[in-house]
Amino acid sequence: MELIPPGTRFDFIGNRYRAFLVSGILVALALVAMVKPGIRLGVEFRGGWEMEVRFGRPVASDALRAALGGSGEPGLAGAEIQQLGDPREGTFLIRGPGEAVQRSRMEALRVSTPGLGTPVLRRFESVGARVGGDLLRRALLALALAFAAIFAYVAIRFPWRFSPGAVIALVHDVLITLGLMTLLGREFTLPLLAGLLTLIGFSTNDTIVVYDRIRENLQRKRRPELASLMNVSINETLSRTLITSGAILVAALSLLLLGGPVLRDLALSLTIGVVVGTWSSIFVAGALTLEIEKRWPGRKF
Amino acid sequence: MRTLRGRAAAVAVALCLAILYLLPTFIPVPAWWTRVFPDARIRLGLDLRGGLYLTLEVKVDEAVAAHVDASAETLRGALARGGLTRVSVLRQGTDAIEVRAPPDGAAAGLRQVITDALPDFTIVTGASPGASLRARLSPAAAARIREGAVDQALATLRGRIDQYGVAEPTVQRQGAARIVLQLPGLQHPEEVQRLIGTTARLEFKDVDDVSPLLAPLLRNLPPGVTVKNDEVSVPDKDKPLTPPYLVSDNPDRLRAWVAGKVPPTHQVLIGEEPGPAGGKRLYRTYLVRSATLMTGEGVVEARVGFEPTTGAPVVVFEFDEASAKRFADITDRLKGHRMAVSVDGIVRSAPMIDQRITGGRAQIAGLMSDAEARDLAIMLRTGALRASVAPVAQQSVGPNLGRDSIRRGVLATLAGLVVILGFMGVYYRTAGAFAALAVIASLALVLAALAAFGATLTLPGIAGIALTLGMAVDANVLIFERIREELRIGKTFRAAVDAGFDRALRPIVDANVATLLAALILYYFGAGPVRGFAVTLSVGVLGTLFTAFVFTRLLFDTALGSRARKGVSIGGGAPWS
Repeated sequence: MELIPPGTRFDFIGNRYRAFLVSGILVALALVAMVKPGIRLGVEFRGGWEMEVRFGRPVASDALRAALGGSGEPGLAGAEIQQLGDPREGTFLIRGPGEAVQRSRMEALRVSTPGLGTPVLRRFESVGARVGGDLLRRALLALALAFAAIFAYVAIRFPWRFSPGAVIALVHDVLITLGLMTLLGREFTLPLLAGLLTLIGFSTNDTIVVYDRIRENLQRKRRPELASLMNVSINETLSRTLITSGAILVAALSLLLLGGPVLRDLALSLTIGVVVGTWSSIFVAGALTLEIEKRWPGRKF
Repeated sequence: MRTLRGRAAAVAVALCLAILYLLPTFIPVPAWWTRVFPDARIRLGLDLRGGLYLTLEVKVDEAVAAHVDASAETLRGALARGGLTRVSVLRQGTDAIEVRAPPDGAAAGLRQVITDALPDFTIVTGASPGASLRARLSPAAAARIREGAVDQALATLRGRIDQYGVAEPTVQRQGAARIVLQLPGLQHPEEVQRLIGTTARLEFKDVDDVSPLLAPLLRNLPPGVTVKNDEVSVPDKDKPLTPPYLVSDNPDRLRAWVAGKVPPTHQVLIGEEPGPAGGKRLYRTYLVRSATLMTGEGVVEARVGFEPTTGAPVVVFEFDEASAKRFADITDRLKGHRMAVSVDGIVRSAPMIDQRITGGRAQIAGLMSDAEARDLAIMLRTGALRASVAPVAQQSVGPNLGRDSIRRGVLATLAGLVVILGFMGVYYRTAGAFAALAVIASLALVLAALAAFGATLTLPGIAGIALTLGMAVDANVLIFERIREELRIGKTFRAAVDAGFDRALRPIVDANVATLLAALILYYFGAGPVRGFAVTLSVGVLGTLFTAFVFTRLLFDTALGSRARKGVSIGGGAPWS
């Protein structure tokens, strides 16, 4: 069985401007989404409190909202409510701004929901605004450092002009994934950050395999001009790219479908990221390197 | 090691070791096992086993202020010895001391006294005599004190948590002034609230019962605050003093009322006022001189005792020799005054000092429950925090959620694995089966490494393992695709396998190093559970490289070396497919 028959020559490089257009539109959409509706920070970055409780029986979101709204408990009355998982279990995420004390929140909840059953606390989190800000700075620094490290690594292992293409492709992947997650109503959380960093690792993986083949083909004695050499290299590695991406997609999807709510942000960002990352490894990274080489020709390749 | 047999032995040893390290995690092992073999287990993170994760901030500036206060006290002593009695010495902000001399020029030699008494301060303003002088703590000394305060808080909290008895607690420093506590099995931060939220700073202060500052506090009282009078019998005097004080059932109301009404030389402290039994708790004020006469630093022993007359719990403590002498001197100086004994700014008792107290023993009385007395004794023994700590973030995970997460994480990983390995078998035939074995071996190695290093497995860590398996598959795919290519250009199977492994090495190493870089950055910057993800991803990368190039290779070589076999089916229309 062969996914991509040998000798296949899709004209990826020839269609690069169409691919750039698609990528450009997606990046533009992502940027718009980040401004409006806008990235919402998770509780760990923004500061605030959230708790996950389970009533153990079906409870309607509206009933809970009404009970909390009418409770007169200052912390709970304005809290945000979201149902999680199987509705029969009555699991809710309740959250609000500011710092909170776990026991007083639980007591207030018990007092205000007498008719709804006994809530059991599954998780509680309260983060001060300053800690959240520090964590966010660390997160952004982690992303920036990951880009810098990969730029440096590619520059060392390959002709250094390959680096910008690889890193721009990565930024492209991260932006589109983040934009889509925002459009899907997900917040920027630590698990999402973990997903983005993993995506950076894997997308670099794909790009490096293509670059490696270009590097190898460049060493041949009789070599075609760069554009067609790149196209051949992308096609030669296409089968591997698709199989590997498929395998990671399967792993990410099974985390998404079976891993439960705690893993959802990580799994969803990876699912999107694998698809976008595969696209950019095939259509963006090499093509950008070609554009750079055409505009500012290097002496040796 | 080049020979087939040598490599097979190496792989067998690695896998046996992996199994040895994994067994205690998955099955109950008999007691003799841990004496013979390593007692390694995969530790579960708080998100999987349930527990409390607290981030505390050390208020390091308090330690600096306390040091400056102590320096001011030293300076007062030096000035008194030098006969400069009319000079006032006050702390300004956290790190400066203001020295004000009367304008008549009695301040000659003041600078010299300051420089001699306070070596870690520099005088920053005040050139002419009569003007006030300002001495500032040097930044290096301040940094040293801050650093020391965090280290001391770390050690102190560790001691308190250990004495309290939590199983496998972790107390770690994070960044400049934060401490992370991980307390498995605990659900409610309230359980350890007193241990972490109490500085246990024992202070002795001079109560000023005859101050003119008292009167303005009593005028136009807000509702809910009333005036009472103490009755203080002073030795050698016939009539007792009757200094007034304020009472309320809300300590914050008292604090709000007195705020800004006394100069910095004095302080109003709050204590409990005995009320009618079973009634509301009442609080009262004490007017004291700001200077701290002594702290609990020299306390060497503390235990719970009982007041002989009332049976109420007290904490009895002993000073070391130097502090005992200091305590004797202070009580000597305070004769005829009351001395406030406060813990964390709350006055517990204010006994009248009628004689020099020698022997270095004292006690804290005043409205304590037995549990409170026990905790206070623990804290006096382990020492006060040099600076208070306050929780700035907390997470707690119930045991049910943890169990759910394990089940779901493992299920998701296995499901992904079955689909991927099934595909490999169909697509690459026998070679795919080799890859499946290699991926399973790499899973075993990664888990064994986690157990051997005592790393902590978190839920994102399980996700990291799932993704590692994807990468292990990738390494095999790269190799097999390469072998197919080499077969297509007409190489023999053996030559194709050699070339395939050789040529796939470079991209696989490059790609994995890039992933490793991202994982290391994540480890460095991530906190808590996300770190677990970085750990499994990093270990997974190394496991992947080993199994793809040693284990899969060995399977190929064994298959080719055993019989007069010419190839292994690898699919893709190549010969032997």
